[in-house]
Amino acid sequence: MDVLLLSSKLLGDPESSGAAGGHWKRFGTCLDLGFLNSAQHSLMDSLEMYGPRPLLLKNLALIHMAKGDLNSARVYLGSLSKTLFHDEWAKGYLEKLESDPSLDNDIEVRRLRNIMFNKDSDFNADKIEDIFANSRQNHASFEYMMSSYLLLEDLEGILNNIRLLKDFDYAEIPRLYEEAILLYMFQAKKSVYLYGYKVSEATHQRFNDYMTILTRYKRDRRAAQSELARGFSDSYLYFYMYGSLEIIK
Amino acid sequence: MSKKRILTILSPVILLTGLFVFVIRDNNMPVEYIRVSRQVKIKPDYTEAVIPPNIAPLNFRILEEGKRYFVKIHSEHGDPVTVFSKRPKILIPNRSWKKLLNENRGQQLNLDVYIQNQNNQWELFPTISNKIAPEDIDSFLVYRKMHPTHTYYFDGPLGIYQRNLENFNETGIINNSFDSIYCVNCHTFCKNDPDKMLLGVRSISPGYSNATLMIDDEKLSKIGAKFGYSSWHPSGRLAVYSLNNLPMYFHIMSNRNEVRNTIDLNSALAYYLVDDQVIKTAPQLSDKEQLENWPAWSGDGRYLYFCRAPKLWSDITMERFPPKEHKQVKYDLVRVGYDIEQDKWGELETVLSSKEAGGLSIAMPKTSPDGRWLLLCMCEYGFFPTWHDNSDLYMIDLKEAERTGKFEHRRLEINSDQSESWQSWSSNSRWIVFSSKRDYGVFTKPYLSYVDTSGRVYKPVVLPQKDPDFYDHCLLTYNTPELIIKPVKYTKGQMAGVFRSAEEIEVDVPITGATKKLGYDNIGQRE
Repeated sequence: MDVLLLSSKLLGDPESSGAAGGHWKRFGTCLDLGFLNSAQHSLMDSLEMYGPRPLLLKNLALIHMAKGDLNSARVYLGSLSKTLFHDEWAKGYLEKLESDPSLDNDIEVRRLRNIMFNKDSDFNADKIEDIFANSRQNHASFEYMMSSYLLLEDLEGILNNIRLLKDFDYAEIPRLYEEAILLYMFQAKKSVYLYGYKVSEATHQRFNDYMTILTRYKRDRRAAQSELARGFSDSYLYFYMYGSLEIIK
Repeated sequence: MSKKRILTILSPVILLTGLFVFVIRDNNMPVEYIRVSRQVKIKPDYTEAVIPPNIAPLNFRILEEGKRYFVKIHSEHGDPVTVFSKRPKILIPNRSWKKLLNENRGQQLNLDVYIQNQNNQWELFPTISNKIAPEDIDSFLVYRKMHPTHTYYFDGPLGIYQRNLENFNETGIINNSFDSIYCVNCHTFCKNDPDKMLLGVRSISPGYSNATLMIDDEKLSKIGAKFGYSSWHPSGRLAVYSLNNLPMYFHIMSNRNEVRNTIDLNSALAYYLVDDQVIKTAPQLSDKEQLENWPAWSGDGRYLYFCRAPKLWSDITMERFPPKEHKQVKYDLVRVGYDIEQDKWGELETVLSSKEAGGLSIAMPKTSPDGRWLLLCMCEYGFFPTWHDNSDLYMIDLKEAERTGKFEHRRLEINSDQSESWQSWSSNSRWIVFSSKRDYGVFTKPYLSYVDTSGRVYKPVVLPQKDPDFYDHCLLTYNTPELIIKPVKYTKGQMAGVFRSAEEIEVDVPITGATKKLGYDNIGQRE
């Protein structure tokens, strides 16, 4: 799943969310967070397991180009240039390496260089907050951090970071964050300051509809689950209440 | 001003701008051409090197645009070899190449490159020169070929292969596509002779355990213990090997090209006596407070050289891995005398300490078969230089050291800014082969360098391939290159068959690992 869809699709279709997992998928998270070495290692493991798949070669080439290891990148690109559908992409980069070895003008390489951690970084990488604190320009780190708050049911964590939406040019608050905010307001029985953003009418309405159903079942969660699952399984309210991504068919 | 004087003044300009038109008489060569002054670029870089007289054709690609290409390869004696091509790939015919090289040992080998430009004008570039060494290189090269990372050891292409250096034939000696074979490594030959060989095999399959395959006087057998880095005594009567605990770890945040690293958590040396079929050790080889690794016999078998460092930890757990002291581990080069008739070890002496080596860590010592030289590599820390960009090759003149009592080391000029390692010698001590990351990044490739009698090491050439573009898309790494005088005569099926058979030489290993084994899975390290 595209990491930038985390804020809207995190609790949606389990197939697209990657819940089934996959060894090679780990590299995507590492790459999003700027851990290029870890991504490189995952991809090399995958190369051993699955052989020279274009997706692997492409990302390995990009990582090595971002790190400035052009000799390794050329080999991956050379291998990729022999494939049927990715040869043009590879040849384009091989030509670019001849004309502009710095790759300073390449958007993707520049993006990776902007978010990559290098030896100057010294922090505890076990916590997503620390990762984000050390890569505040990395949109993906922000989304992972907010997603971790959602999954950990840390409503204050969501609320405390709504102010950062502006830094990443969000036009509006993502739906899952909106639902978390409404939940917080409902529990705390107070309004909150949203730094110029507001919760949409649609989300307010959905929240009210959810509560109406729940009230009809006299707040009996178990009894209400089947009906709520039909209309709200992708909502944060449902996740918060039932604590699972499971969808009742 | 006279015409002659004008011509004299202008001639350098004419030469440089390529306006001088030559007419020559040769049926296969361009008849008219202009000289250009800039050097033609070719890949691989087969220029100004010393090459073996028995090497396979050094096929190359011309990195210049052109409609047609013509190359004349010539030397002092014999007929030149000519190649005409519509593509920039220059594939040299083997027979005439071999004849030319053989007839011109010790001479220059010249390459005249002509390129027909878009205006149909032929251009002749300045001659590329290499030198043909007087002495052959051993005819076969054995190496381990694998993906840059092997964490799971899935079927193939991890294997030990032998390449005929006089042509392009490569055959497998053993690989992990056979059931029960997980990893193969540490192939070692006695004086470059494949009739005395050791090869380690690891297995995780039920019913199999790690073992060492041994060819001794042409007989293939299995020893019931896995040997690590090994070295045959020149007599062939024993081999010293390392016992190691070498978990991998990964640099999560450094900006180094190579993300992998390995640490020698615990090691010692032991030796296998071939006739007695026993494994022994000695206090000098297996001090519990020390890490002992990379054994290498002297050419006369009187000394065993190896690398040794104090062990800076007592016990290691996953939570403490890698130990914070791992960057302080610097190996010294030591040696110990050995009397083969008495099976008696002498006093341990330091040959070159890490401190004397500028604080670098010493690894992979290899003595030349004539006993004159000791080739080693050094890197920033640790025992495994292949994964350190700053690993370089160094040489010690052992003859001079015997005379002066000082083991002076010198850094070789052939080093690059990338990792050099896995060096070894030819049987005649005139060639070395080593692995380098200089041209293909994480994809280590073997390079061949000539060493003259004074110990000067000349610009290397990468192992030639039939397709000069081969390495540009080759996703495999070549390590542990070892030169041998003839091919290993057992097939990979025979090797695998012996490994899988129940018959083995049972041995007791006199050392048990004091450090708990750690897994090879993704152990991250922040840097």
